[in-house]
Amino acid sequence: MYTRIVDDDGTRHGISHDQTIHLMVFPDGDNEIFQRHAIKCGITGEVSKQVTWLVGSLNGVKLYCMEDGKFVMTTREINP
Amino acid sequence: MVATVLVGEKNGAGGTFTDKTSGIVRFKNADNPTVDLVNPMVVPVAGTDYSYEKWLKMKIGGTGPASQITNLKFYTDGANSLGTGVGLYAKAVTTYATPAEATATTGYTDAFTYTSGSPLSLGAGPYSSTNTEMGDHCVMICTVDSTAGPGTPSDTLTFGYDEI
Repeated sequence: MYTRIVDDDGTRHGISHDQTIHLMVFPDGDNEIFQRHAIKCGITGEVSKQVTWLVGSLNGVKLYCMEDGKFVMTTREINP
Repeated sequence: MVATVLVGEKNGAGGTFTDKTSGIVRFKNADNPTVDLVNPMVVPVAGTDYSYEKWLKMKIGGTGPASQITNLKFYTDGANSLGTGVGLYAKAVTTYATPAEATATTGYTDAFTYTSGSPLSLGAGPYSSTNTEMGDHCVMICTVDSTAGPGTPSDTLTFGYDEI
């Protein structure tokens, strides 16, 4: 999980609760930081689990901070 | 603070919500959320056995988002792991109705065509009120054909959303 902070100048921060990730998006256009969640429900016998990615967006380009330290930069919408 | 978001199954005329966020959705020949072997789906000698509808919905729990929740969606991994002769179908419906036993897949789409790259939208939002359901229902049915084998096959359904 992540904490989201917005500075007075519009700079956005996303910080993981274990402090291992600190994503900053400067206010150089249309910018945002949000969490993309997925709840994976089991049917019949599968075990349910939840996944969260931190996503930074600047002028339509998104940086996805995935689990296991993977990062993807793209204009595509991708989901956990 | 991160919002508490639940995925639940609704049953009965009143649409009683049962949290399935950490549970299991059991398709069966009855309208209840109980995970048991009562009223099981059966492999027919010929034709298709249809499950009762599962009305699944997302809900904000006791903790709301700092700002808002948007972009509700449903998807699968795109691969049917339920086995030969077992199908899963989905559609988005706004208004709740008492779950009924399906008799056809008309109006539904193969659930495994909804993937992370092409999900079923369940509502754009924004949503922020605590203890409140969000967006459309994801109504699902399971089908078992005569070609299916015995057992309790399993798979995973994914409900996604964005939080600010």
